[in-house]
Amino acid sequence: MSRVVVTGLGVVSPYGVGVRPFWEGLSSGRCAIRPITLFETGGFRSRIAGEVPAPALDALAASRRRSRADRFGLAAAREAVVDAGLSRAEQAIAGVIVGGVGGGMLEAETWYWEMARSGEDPRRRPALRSILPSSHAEVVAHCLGLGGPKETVVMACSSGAASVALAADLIVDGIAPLMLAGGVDALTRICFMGFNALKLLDPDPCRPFDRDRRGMSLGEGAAFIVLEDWEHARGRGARPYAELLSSGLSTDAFHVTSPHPGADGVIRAITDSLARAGLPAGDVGYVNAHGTGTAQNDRTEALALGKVFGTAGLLMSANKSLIGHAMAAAGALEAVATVLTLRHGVIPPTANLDHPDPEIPFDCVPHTARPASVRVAMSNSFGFGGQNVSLIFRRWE
Amino acid sequence: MVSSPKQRVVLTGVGSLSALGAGGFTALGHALEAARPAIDAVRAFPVEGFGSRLAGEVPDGALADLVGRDEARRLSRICQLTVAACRLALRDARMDPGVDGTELGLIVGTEFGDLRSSQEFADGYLKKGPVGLSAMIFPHTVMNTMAATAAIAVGAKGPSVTLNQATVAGELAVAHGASMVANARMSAVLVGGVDEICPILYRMLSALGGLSPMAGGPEGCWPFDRRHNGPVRGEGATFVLLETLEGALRRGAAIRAELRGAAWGNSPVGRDRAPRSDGDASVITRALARAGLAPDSVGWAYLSGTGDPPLDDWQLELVRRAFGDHRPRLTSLTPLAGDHAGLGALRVAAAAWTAGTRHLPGLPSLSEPVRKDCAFATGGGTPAGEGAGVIQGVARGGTQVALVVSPFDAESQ
Repeated sequence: MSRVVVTGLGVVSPYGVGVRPFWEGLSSGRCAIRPITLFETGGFRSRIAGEVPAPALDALAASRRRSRADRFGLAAAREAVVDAGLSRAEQAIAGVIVGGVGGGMLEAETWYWEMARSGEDPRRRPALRSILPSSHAEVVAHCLGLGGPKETVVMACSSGAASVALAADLIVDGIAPLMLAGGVDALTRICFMGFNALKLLDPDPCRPFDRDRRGMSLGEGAAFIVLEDWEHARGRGARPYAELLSSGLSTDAFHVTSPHPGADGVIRAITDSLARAGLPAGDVGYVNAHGTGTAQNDRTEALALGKVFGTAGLLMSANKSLIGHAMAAAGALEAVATVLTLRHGVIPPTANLDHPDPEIPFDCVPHTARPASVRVAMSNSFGFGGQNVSLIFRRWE
Repeated sequence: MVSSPKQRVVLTGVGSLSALGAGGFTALGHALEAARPAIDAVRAFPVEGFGSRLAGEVPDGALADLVGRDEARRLSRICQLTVAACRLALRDARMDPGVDGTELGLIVGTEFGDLRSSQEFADGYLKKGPVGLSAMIFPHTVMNTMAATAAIAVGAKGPSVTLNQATVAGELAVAHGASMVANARMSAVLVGGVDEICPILYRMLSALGGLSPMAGGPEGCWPFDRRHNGPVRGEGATFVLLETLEGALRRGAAIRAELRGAAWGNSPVGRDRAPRSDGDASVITRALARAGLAPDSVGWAYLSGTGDPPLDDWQLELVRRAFGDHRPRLTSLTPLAGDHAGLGALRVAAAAWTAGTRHLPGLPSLSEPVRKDCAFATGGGTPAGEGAGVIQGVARGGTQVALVVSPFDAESQ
């Protein structure tokens, strides 16, 4: 039996670079969803997102020749490794799993737009080298000298959480003692246009669990967690933030974009994670919800939580109301937020929640952060293709 | 977290669509026996001005009986390839996930995903503005679309994971799936890979100098030969069904081979580089240790052997370090089918076939090996040595994967 602990955190978010601004932003309830500046948004229903501020990006040490997403990933990974106090020798045995979706598509789009309009290859080809999601893991592993397993997992909006779950499995199975797990995504035109085409974006900052919610807001960023076998962490004198008790992964096998109406897959992910942790549902004090703000997703998630936990006493909130939906990075950002919630005893609020939906009968912590001594917390992430991931963390005592 | 007892992992089904044809374990065996290279000039689109002209394409009409009319209308081609290969693998294994399906996982390796749909989606906007955007196409721009559609088609409700990786995505999927079964997270997992050739991809790879002829000269796929000058692209989907020995025996499945061990790791170098000869041989060594086998018990190996010179050189150095003076017979399937993510599972399926038949397809055009201290299978093929087989894949950026396959020994249950 192995215990998996969290010993390092790193974040790039719409609040800027670093775990500190991330937590200060979340716990202050300040919504970071603003008009998009990265590309043209004329003619679209929604024109806002949680964008990483330009000055924060400019301050990053990573090469400007790298894609925006690779720069996010490298900055967050570096912070996590430094935070965990890993030596070069420890990095050499560490593996990395990165959840990605958009890769360097933002820069590749610029190449393709130019080629389509001019009819000629603009020869800005370096953009193509980083187009794939696997670019993030390659850059992080190379720059940090990581010699363990290196993987890129693409599970749509649950990619970041899946990377944490799969990395923990490798530790439990004895394949690696130390893993860097996280998610990376930058805003792209294709993603922005696609969710607009699906009419899933709210023209205003999203309002998860609100009666009048009209869709989600996009976001971007990166987050990494250093996961470690407890014996290994103890051996090097590391002090964990929290323990990752378990994970549950499931697939709806129902529809490519719509969740199962009975929340079948979500319920299986949640109950599997509880079973693997050996915990009764009542032990979970807080759920960091997937909470996108779409009518269907919020209803499905609430249905699943109601069936597993009942409605009494469960606290839940949605980080996406503050920073938008960062796609592949979302699950990793929310995993970090969940760990910090346990650490600080403060639940970040759900912003913009003025009229709670009566069909979602939970305390969703509207507007203002709430002190709460939570011992066990769950983070949920769901994605296109009916891909569901639940993570359970326990406060380190 | 609780780590469950280790389970033995066996291979019970194969589904493959590649330039070599479509079918299950038996059909693949026939293709390997024939060992006829299926690389030819690209048929699907014009390649004038691209600098390369060869590829291993899936034969026209291969999908006809494997996807329904509605699926052919709704799904992109790469999703159809995935669905078809997964169905073939389950049919080959005589497994029906049934209404439950919660004990069946799916792991899809891909290098490029559905780039064709991304291009089509973007073109809609570039031609007509926001009204030209298709909500139907958008989900296919996300690389997990193949896993999502295949999970729906075959009713796989366990984890469905997509792994994106250059060159060895298929091997990684098999390694990860084997670990999932060995550690009792799933009773059975469909694992494999898929890629397709499309104009935007061929143009990109050609522009980046990622295809033969990388440095001029004639174009061709010549792994481990002095003429090697880059990969020739292939396409297709191959999936194998891995399950616990216990489960396979319980349902009376035909066991094609046992997957004895897997290991994967990284020798950190830049994304576009191959490590030099100072690479780490421990991935093969670790896989053998997990299998409980000594290096000299390995008789043969399927290598990724893409024909990319620095990768070929690194790979042979790793093999020599792992095996020392022992010389397993080495081969690669890229000259037959072209390099693509489906090839990882194709190599595993081929290894299962070799484990049963003791026949190893050769490198059809090897004339002047880059190393004299390695033993290559040549021509149409050679008898495989006794013992287990290794599948090893390496990629630029330093990723390595090693898998160990042996015939299933019923006496050792």
